[in-house]
Amino acid sequence: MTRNLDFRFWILDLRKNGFAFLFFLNLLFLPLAFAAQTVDLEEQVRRIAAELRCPVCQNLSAADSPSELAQQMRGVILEQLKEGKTPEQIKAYFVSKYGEWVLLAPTPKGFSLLVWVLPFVAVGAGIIFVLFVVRRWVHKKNRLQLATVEPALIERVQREVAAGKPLQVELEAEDIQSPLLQEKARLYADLKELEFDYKAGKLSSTDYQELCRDLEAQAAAVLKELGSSAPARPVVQRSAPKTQQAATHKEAPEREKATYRGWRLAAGGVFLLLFGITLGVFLTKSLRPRLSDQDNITGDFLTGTGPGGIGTSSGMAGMEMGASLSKDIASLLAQGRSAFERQEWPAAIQAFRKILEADANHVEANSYMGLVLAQAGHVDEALAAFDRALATDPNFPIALWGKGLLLYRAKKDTAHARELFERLVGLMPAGEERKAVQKILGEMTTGADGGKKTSAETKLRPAGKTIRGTVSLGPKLNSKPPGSAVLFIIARSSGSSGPPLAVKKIEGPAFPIRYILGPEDSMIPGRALAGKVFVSARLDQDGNPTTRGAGDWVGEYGKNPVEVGTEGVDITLQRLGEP
Amino acid sequence: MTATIGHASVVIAFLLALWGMIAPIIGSRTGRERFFATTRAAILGQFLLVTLASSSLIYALVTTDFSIKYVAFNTTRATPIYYRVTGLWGALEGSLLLWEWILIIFSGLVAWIYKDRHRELMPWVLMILSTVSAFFLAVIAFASNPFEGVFPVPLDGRGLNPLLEDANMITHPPLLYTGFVGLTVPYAFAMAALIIGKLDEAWIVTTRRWTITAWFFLTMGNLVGAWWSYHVLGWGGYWAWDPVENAAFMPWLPATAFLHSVQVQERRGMLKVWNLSLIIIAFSLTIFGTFLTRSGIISSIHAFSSGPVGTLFLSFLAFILISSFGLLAYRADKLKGRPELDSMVSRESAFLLNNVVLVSALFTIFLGTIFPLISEAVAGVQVSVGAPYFNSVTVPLFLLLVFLMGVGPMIAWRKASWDNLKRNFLWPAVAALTIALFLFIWWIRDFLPLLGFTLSAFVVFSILFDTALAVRARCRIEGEWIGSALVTLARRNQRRYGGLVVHLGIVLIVLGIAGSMSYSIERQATLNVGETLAVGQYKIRFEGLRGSQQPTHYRVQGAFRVFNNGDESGVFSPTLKFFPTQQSPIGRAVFRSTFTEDLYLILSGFSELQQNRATLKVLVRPLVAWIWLGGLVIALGTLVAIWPFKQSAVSE
Amino acid sequence: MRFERDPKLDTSLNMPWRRVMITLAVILPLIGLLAYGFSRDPRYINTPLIGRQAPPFTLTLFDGKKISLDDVTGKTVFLNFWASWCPPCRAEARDLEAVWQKVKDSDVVLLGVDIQDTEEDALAFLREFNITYPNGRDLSGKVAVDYGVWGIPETFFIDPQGRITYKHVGSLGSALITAKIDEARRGIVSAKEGKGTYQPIR
Repeated sequence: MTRNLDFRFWILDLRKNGFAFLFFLNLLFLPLAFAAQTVDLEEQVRRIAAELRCPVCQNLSAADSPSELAQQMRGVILEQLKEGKTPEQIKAYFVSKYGEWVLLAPTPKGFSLLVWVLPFVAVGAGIIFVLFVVRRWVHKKNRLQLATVEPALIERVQREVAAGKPLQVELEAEDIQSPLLQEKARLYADLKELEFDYKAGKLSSTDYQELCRDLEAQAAAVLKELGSSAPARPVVQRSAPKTQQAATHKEAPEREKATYRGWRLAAGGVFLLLFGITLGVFLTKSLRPRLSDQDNITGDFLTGTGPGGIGTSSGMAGMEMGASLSKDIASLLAQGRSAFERQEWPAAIQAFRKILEADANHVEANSYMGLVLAQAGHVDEALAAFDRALATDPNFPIALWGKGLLLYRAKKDTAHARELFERLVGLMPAGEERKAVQKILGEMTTGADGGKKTSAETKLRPAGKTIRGTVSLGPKLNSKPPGSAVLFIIARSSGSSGPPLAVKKIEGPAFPIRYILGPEDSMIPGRALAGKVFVSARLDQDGNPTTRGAGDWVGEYGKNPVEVGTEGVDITLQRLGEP
Repeated sequence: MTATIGHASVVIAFLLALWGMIAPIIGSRTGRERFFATTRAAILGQFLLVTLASSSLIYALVTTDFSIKYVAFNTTRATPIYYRVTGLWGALEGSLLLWEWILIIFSGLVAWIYKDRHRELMPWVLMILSTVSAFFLAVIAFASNPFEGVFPVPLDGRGLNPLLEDANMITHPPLLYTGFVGLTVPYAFAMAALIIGKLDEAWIVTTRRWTITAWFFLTMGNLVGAWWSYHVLGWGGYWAWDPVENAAFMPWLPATAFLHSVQVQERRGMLKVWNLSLIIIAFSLTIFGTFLTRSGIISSIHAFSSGPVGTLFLSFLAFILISSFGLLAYRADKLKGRPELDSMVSRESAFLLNNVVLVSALFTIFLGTIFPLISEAVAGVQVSVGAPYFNSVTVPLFLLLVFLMGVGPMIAWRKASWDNLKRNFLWPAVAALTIALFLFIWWIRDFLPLLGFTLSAFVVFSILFDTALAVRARCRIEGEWIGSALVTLARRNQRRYGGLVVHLGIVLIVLGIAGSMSYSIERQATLNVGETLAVGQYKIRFEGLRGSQQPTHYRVQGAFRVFNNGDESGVFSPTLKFFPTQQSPIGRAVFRSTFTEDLYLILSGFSELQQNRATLKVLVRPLVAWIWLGGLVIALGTLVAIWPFKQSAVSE
Repeated sequence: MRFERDPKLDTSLNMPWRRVMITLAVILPLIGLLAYGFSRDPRYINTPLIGRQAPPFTLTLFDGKKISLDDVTGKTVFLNFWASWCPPCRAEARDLEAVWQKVKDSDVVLLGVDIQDTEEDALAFLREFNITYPNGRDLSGKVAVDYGVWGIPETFFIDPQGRITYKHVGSLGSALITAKIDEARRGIVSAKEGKGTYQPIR
C-alpha cells in the first residue's frame, strides 16, 4: 500500500517536478528564443524595407539607403512589426502614404500586370516562333531534291579537301568573290572541321559518313555550277562595268580634269572663307582693349585671367581664396598703379585697399596708399601708411620719398626729412630723379640756414613766387555751402586736366575769400611753382578731394594761363562740376 | 584664348562634318570619285580639330582657367591633377566632347585602316560616321558649349562632385564610352552596305574585330561601374538596376546576340535582315542611353543636369530609328537568303534560341525601365520598377542563357544526331548532376541557386570536355604535346576558343552573382566602444571614432577590429565624409575580399551627443570576388579572339 | 573612274509601303512616349492623401505643450512641414507668419512640424523669422512618414471635418495660402496637388 502511495506520490512528484523542470527549461530557452525573435525582427524589417523605395535617394531601396528618411521608415516598420502587423499590412500602409510609387516592384494588378506578364509572353512567343520558323526551314530543305551528283566531282571535292589547302577564304579582301565561291569555301571548311571533330571523337562513324556525304554532294553541286555557267557570271558582273568604266575613262579625262579643278578651287575658297569668318568672329569676341600699359590684349595669352581680368566682385559667393593669391595681387597692383598714374584716385584706392585686405604689410601698396592719402591731404594717415611700408622694407624708395616729402612740407620736420632723403639719394642710381631729390635736399639746407633766424613758416619760403586772388560764389549758386565743404584752389601746368602743381586747401570757407597759392602748396617734388599755370577752384561738398561729388562747385580763372607771381587771380565758382 | 581655340575648333569641325555628310551624296550623283577622297580628308580634319578642342579643354582644366564656366564649375584650385583631367568627363558638356573625341578617333582609324580597301563601301561608311559626328559637334558647339565663359571670373571653382572623386572616375566613363562609340562602326558599315545595296557578308567580316572590341569595352565598362558601385558607394551592392545602369547594359545584349547570329549568317547566308536589325538596335540603344542620362525624364543617381540637350537627342534618336529601319525595310527584298536548316537540333537552332533569349532580356529590361513612363501616360498611376522586379524577371532568362552556353558551342552544325548529343554532353551532364547532388547534400537547399550552380558546372565541364577531346585529337594526329596543341587550336580557331574562354568568364560572373545574391548576410547594430557584433564566423569590436579635417571635407572614421573565427584580421576603418556642398554625408565602406566571401563594413551613423557610439552595418557576401575574376577572364578571352595571329593557316 | 551604280538598284517608287508603315507604327509611339517624359518631374511623388482623413498625430511644441489633431477638430488646419536647412522654407516663413497674424483669432490654426533637424537650429529659425504660431519637432519621423512627406516645405490644408483638402509641395505665397484656407474652410477638396520650389528631405 505504502508502496503504491509512494509510487503515486512519486508520479505526482515527477509530474510536478517534471513540470517544474520543463518550466525552468523553457525559461532557459526563453532568452534564446527571444534573441532569435529579435534577430528575426531585424531580418524581417530588412526584408520589408528592401521592397520599399526610398523617396529621397534615387532608386535605392529603404533597406540600402543611408538617408535619414530611410532610417525613419525602418523605424516605423519595426514599430509596426512589434505591434503585430503583417508585412502586407505594412506595405499597404506605406502605399496609402506615398502611393504605388513607393513599392519597388509594381503589384501585379491592373495595368501593372502588363509589366509582369509581357516578358514571359515575349520569351514564350519568341521560342515558339523560332521553333516554328526552324521547322519550316527544315521542311523546305528536305523538299529540295538533290540532283544526281557526278562521282567525278565528288572525288575532286575529296581531293581538294584532303590536300588540305589553306583555305583561301580571305574574306576581308577587297573584292568579295562571288557567293558561289564563298559557299564552296564554306563547305570545304565545314568538311575539314567535320573530319577533325570525327577524329576528336565527337561524332560517331555513321554520323560522320552521313554528314560527309551530304556536304560533299553540296560541294559537288557548287563545283558543277561553278564549272558550267558560272565562270561567265562572276566575271561578267565585274567586266561589264569595267569596260564601261574603261570607255568613259578614256573619253573624258581632260574635260573632267578641268571642271574638277574648278570645283576644287571653288570648294577650297568657300571653306577658307568660312574658316576665316569664324576665326575672325571668335577672335574679335575674345580679345579686348588694353586697360593699361602692362595689360595685353589676350589677357596672359592662353588663359583668360590676367591683369585687369578679375572682376570687382568675386562671382562665387562663399568660396574661400585658394592657396596662392600672388597672381591676383600682382594684377591688383598693376591696376592700382595705372589708376594712380591716370589720377583716378577712387580706383587706385580701391585696388590698393584690396591688396591691403589680403596682405596688410604689402610694401608697395602701403607706399602708394600713402601717396594717395597725401594727395588728399590726410597727412597722418599717409604717414602711417608710409611707416607700415618702411617697417617691412626700410629702403623702399617710394615710401622714403613720400614720407620725406610729407615730413618736409606738411610737418616741417626738416631733420628727419633730410635723413630720409639722404638715405634715398644713397639708394638711387644717377639720373633725373636723383637730381630732383638732391635739389630738394639743397632747398632744405638753404631753407634751414635761412630759417634759423625767423619762424618756421617764413623760413621755408624761398624767392616767393605766388599767385594771389580771391574766390567768390557765382550768381547762379546762391545757396550756402554746407559746413563740411572744403575749398581747393588748384594750379595745373597744362589745361584743366593736367597734373596739379599746387593745391591749397581751405576748410569752411566764407565767401568771398582771399587766397595765396605759394611754393609750400606745391605738389610735384622738385618742381617749383613757376611758369604759366592754369588756376581753378573747387568747392568739395564732403571735403574729400578724392571723391568728386555731383554737387561740387567749380570755377576757373578767366584768363588762364597766368604767370606765377601774378596777383588778382580771381575765380568765381559758377557751375556744378562733373564727378 | 583657350576657350576661343576650343570653341572655334568645334565649330569648324562641325562644318567639316557637314561636308563629310554631303560629299558622298554629291559624289554619287555626279559620279565624281574625287568627292569621296574629300570625305576622308573631312574625317581627318575633324580628328585634328576635335583633338585640339579636347586638348584645350584639358589644358584649361589643368591650369584651372576659371574664366571658362565648365572649369569653374568642376574643379577647384585644390583638386588634384588627375581629377582635373577627369573633369573632362565629369559633367554634361565635357562628356559630350569626350564622346565626340572617341568617335572621331574611331572614325579616323577606320578611314586610315581601310584606305585602300572597300572602295565602294568606304565613302558611305565615312558619311554615316560624319553624320553622327556632325550631330554631336552641333550639340557641343551650339547647345551645350563647354567653352562658355563666365564673368566675372571667380577666384576659385566649385569643385567636382565628391562622389566622383574616386580612382574609377579615370577608367569607367572612358571604357564605357569607348564601348558605346565602338558600336557606331559596325552600324556605319551596315548602313553603308544598305545604301549601296551591296548586301553580302563583306561588311560583317570587316567589322568583326570592331564589334568584338566594342563589345569588350562595353563589358569592361559595365563591370568597372559595378566595381565602383560596390567598393565606393557603401551600400554593398554592385548593380542597382538604376535606369542609367540599364541603359548602359542594354546595348550589350543585342551586341552579344549579334556576335552569335553573324556566325549563322557567315555559314548559311541566313538571318541577314535580323543581323542588320540587331546592329541598328544596338546603336540606337547607345543613343537612347545618352538621351536617358541627359534628358531628365527619369530620376537617377547618374543623371547629368538636364538642359535643351534632351530634345536634341530625342530628335536624333527618332531620325536614326526612322532612317535606318526605313532603309532596311526598303532593301529587305534583296536580303532574302536561302533559309534552310538541316535539323531542329543543331547549332544554328541553338544560336537562334540564344538570340531569342537575349532579345527577350533586352525587351524585359527596356520595358521595365520605361514602364513608369508608360504607366503614368496611359493609366495615370505612378509606379516604380526597381531591383525586385528585374531580379525576379531576368533570372530565369539568364539561367536559360547559361544552359545555352553549355550546349551551343558543342552541338554540331547542321544536324546533331542523338549519338552526337550523347557523345558531347553525357559526361558533362553527369558531372554537373554529381556536383548538384553534392551541393544539395552539404550546402544548398534553395532551388534557384542550386539550378544556377548546376548549369554553371555543366557549362564548365562541357567546355573542358570539348577542349580535351580536341587537344587529344591533335596530340594523337599531329603528335604535339598538350601546350602547343592548345596554342595551335586557339590560333586556328580564334573565335571559337576565345569565345569559350569568354563563356568561362561569364560563368564565373554568374556564380558570383548567384552566391552573393542568395547567401548574403546583413546585420546592423549600434555599438558602444568595446562592444562586439557577431556576424557568421566574424566578430567585430568597435574601438572608437576619430574625426579629422581634410582639405575638401570633414571625415569621421570608425575603428573596428575584426576577428575571423577567433583570429584577428586587423582594424578596419569605414568613414563618413561630410562635404560642405552635400546635404547628407557620403560614406566610404571598407571590405576584406577573399576568394570565398567579402566582409563589408559600413559606418551608417554615429551619435553626436554621446561621442563614442556608432551604428555599424555589416555585410557578408560570398563569391563576389568571382565577378571581378570573371571580368579578367573575359578580357583574356577577348584577347584570344581578336589577336592578330599570322594568317598562315587561317580557317575563319 | 566613274563610280557605276548597281543597275539592279531599284530606285523607283516600288517602296514596300506596308513594311515602312509597320516600322513607323512601332517607332513613333515610342518617341512620343519619351517626349511625354519631358512634361513631368521624375522626382515628384503624387500623394494619395487628398480627400482622405488626415492621419492623427501628437506634437510636443517647443514651449512644452502637447497638441494633437483631435484638439483642433472643428477648425481649419494649415499643417506645414519644414526644416531649418531648407532654403524654400526660409523663403516662405515670413509669409506664413503674416498669414498667422491675420487669421489667429479666427477658426484657422497654423501648425508647423520641424523634421530632421536639431533643436538649436529649429529655435534659431523660429527666432529669425519671429514665428509665433505653434511649432513642434517630429523626433522619430513618424509624422512625416504618416503624411508621406518627401520634399519640404510641404503644406497640408485640413478642413474642419478632418479631411485633407489640398497639399502643396514647395514654398507657398500668401495669395495661394489664403485662397486654399478659404477652400478648406468650406470643405472643398482640390482636384490636384500643388507644386512650388522644394528641397528634397534628407
